[in-house]
Parts: sequence; structure tokens; C-alpha cells
Amino acid sequence: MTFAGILGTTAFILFLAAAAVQTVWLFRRDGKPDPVSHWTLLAAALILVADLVVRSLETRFVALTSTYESLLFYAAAIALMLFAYRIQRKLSYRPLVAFGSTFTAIILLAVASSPLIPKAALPPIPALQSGWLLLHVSFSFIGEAFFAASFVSALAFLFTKDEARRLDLDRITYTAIAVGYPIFTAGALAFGAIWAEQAWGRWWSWDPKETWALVTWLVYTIYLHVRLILKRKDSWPSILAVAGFLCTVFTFFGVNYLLPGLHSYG
Amino acid sequence: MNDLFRRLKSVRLAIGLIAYLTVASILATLVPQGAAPEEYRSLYPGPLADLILQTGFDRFFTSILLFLLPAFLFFANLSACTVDRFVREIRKKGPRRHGPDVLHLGLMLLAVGAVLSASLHREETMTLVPGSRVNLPDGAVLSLTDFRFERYEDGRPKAWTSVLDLADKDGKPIKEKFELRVNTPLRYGGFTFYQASYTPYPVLELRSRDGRGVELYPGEEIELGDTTYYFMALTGEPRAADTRAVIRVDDGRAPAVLRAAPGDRAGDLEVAGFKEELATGIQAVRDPGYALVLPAMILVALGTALTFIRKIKEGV
Repeated sequence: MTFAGILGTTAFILFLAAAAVQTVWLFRRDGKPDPVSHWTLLAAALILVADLVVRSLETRFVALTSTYESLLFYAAAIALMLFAYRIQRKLSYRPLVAFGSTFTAIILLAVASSPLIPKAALPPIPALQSGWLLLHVSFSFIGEAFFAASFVSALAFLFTKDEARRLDLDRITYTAIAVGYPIFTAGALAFGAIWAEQAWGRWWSWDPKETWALVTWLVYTIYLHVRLILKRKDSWPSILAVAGFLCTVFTFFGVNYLLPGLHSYG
Repeated sequence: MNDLFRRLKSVRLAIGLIAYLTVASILATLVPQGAAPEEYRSLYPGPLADLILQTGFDRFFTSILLFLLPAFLFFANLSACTVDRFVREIRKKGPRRHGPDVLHLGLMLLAVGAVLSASLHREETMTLVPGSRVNLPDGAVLSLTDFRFERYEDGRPKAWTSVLDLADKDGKPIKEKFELRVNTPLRYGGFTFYQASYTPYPVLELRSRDGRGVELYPGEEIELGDTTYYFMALTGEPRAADTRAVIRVDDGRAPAVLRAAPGDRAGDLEVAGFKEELATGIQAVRDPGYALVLPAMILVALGTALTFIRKIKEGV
């Protein structure tokens, strides 16, 4: 196993350990957060970043150009987001949201480790040699890390009957989207369009991946407007938050493998 | 009029239009766009194929009824919302929130940029070999001095580089040895030049009696003494054994078209061999809409950030 492979495996084990601790705490009645898992997640995130640094040194380019590298970055962004969520004081901490997001990151790493995803550290082809691409990918996934948390809290909202709890979960969902939306807007749409103009001479081509990134953005836009006019106890905003995250999943995986286009390498 | 404005600025109308554009865009990624009618008839049952073709869903993003009209209505709705919101904020006595106004203004500017881009975007691809020159509309001259195709050790492409010189109409250099690569375009005079493609092309190598070599591209001719040699084409791959060069030799008395193999004579020259070189494909693009798109994107990103930083600070 390569050094980068050892780092990836170690991070995966740390994610599993964090999820195990969070699972135990889920069954406690006091609802208090566990004292360990956020540090474990921080360590996992730093190890994933180190893995990407090692790959970058091997390829002499920032390692954020393949599906495998994107998955590692995405998982690291979720872990760092959860660490920030745990140490902040404004929002109430919901162990279920932390567990669900950690579980999402574990799924991402499991997908990354599957034989379907090529893992070789390769320097990028000419179209991918761009600083705008790096901004496009990194900002998109940081935004999506927040959308992952909103997905979990929105799902929890839909399965909860307790009014006070629903209001709290609605606030967590909204805050996560409120942070993720501007980052995603800058990354997926603005930096993506600038990169496309610089690489292909067209800032927008209605390529399936572009269209799905726009669809994702539109779904979250609808969420933000629906939440303006509906009561916070209403289920529609949460349904839209769930749909928005499912759109990000389809944009990342579905479009790559089902719909051909300019992004078929990414 | 007031009633129309009230209806136009409705958030519910905005949600309805965005929802329609979202669902329709999803469907447009699932239905092939711009294909021939036969393809739809082979992919879908007859009535569905007819519906796609008759409604114009096969060209959704340029369909007036299905896309452009709803998009225009959304633009009108957004404009009305923006004006209404901005006026309300200005009249407010307490702290004002202009983040959504900046965001909406950015989106309006983006829509105008998109319309300009869609209607005024022009592009053309030029295939150039080293030594070729292209005259630009303002009289400037773009010349290709070299084209390089570098590969990684595993054979994947590393870089395509066209080395360009750009001089104004009086021959004064504007850019010298500019390395045009993918992601490094050259911008000049309202045009942007992109490294877009490459094409292999054959080269005919000729040798004179005194051993001097001459190289010709297909369609190129050279005059030596009283004779003109015009290289028309190769009959096959440059490295194939049965490939011949089709050359027209005109000595002013009896022009002849020859099919010559390496070692054969063509007039006073000998065919030394064939080889393959690469021509670069440079795309010249003019897109006046992009000048609006860039500031629009900045406004959109800034507007979203301002809106939500404020909301989060205020505890949502």
C-alpha cells in the first residue's frame, strides 16, 4: 500500500470511530454531545488533507482534479464543517445531525475506495490545469458539505413530530443552507463559468453537469423563497432541502456516469 | 397598473417560475437535445416523440415557448421584486439590508449578459501550420511560429502549445512568442484566441540534385527555376508502403500530375519521403456578453454572501 493509501485508510478508520462514538451518544437521553468525535473528525480531515498534499507533490499540481481526490476533499470538508458545528455556540448541537453527516462522509470514502473509482495520482490533462478549476471544485464541495448537514437535519425534521424540536431542526437546516448557498454559488456557478470561458471560450454551454449544478442552485433558491412565505413548522422547506442535496449527489455521480458532456472526466 | 405590478412582484410567481424552469431543465438533460427527428422516433413511443418534436422540447434551451418566454417572465418578476424591495429598504428607518438587492441586480445583469452572449457570440476555428499568418479585422497579423504537443510518460496529453507572434498593421510587435495553451487564451482587439485542437497533416519531403531539401504541405507549391511543384495530397498514411504523393509538375511546356513514391523523380527533384506533422486549431471567439457576465457573477456571489452573513449574524 502506498503512503497516500495508508493515510486514506487511517482517515476512514477515524471516521468509523467517530461514527461509533456518536452512535453510543445517540442513545443517551440527556442529548449532550460526546466529547471525542469532533476531535477524531478533525484528525481525519487533517489526514485527508495530508493525503491530498502527498498526491499534489507526486503530480506537481494541486490534487483536486479526479473523482477520487474530489471525494477525499468532500469528506474532509464535511469533517471540518462538523468540527466547526460542534465548537460554535450559536446553534444547538444535535448529535443526530452530526452522526448523519459523518455517515454521509463515510459513504463518500467508501465510494472512493471502490474499484470503480481510479485512484492513481496522475497529473492533469491540459483542460484541468487551471486555478479557476481548483476554486470551482473546492468551493462547490465546501458548499455541498453544508448542504449535507442540511439534508440530515431536514430528514430529521420530516421524521419528527415534536414542535420545539422541529423548529430547532429547521433553524439548523436553514443556517447550513445559508452558509453553503453563497459558497456553492461562487464555486459551482461563478468560478465554473469563469473557468469554462477560459478553457473553452464559452462561459455556459448547457452541458448536463452545468445544467444540473444550476438545477441544484435553483432548488436551494426555491427553498430560500419558500421558507420566506411558509411557516417554519411546514414540511415543504425540508422536502426541498432533501431534494437539493439529492440534486448535488446526482450532479456529482449521476451526471458523470449517466449523462455525457464536457465534465465526463470530473 | 398597480395590480399588474403587485402580481408581477409576487414571490409565489417567482417560486412557480423557478420550479418550472428547474423541472423542465432536468427533463431537458434527460431528453437528447438537437438530435434528428428519427432519433426521437427510435428512442420514444410515437406519440411521445411527436410531442417532443412538436413542442420544440428537442431544442429546449432555445425554445421561445418552453424556455425563453418563462425565462423572460422570470426576469420581469425579478425586476419588479428588486425595484419593490429596494424602494422599501430605502424608505426604512432602521438598519437596511441590501444583500438581496445586490444579488437580484447581479442576476438581472447576468440575464442581459446571457441574452447578448447567446445572440452575439461568434467563433471560428483556424487550422495553422508553423509559418502561417492570419490577418485580423483591424489589420493586425497573427503568426504561428511553432506548435508543440507534449505528453506525460504514460502517453496522456500534457500540453498543446501554439507559439504566436502578434503585430499591428504597421508590423510593430504587440505580443512576441506568446505561448497559447488550453486555459491560457490570448485576448486582443475584442477577440479571444483559444488553443482548441490539433490535426495531423502530411508533409512531402523533396530533394534537389545538389542535396538541398524542400518541404511542402498539401496545397502548397514552390517554384524552382522554370518549374512549379504543387503538392496536391497523399494517397494514404505517410508511413504506409503503398502511399504515393500526388504532385503537379508544371515546367511551362507539358504540365503533368504524378503519383510518386519515395525515390521517384518529379521533374528535377527527387521524392525523399513523407512524414506527419501537427497543425494547431486556434479558435477565435468574440463574445460581447461576457463583459457583463463577469461583473454579474461578482454581484451574485457578493449579494448571496451579504444576505446570509447578515442573517446568520442576526441569529437567522
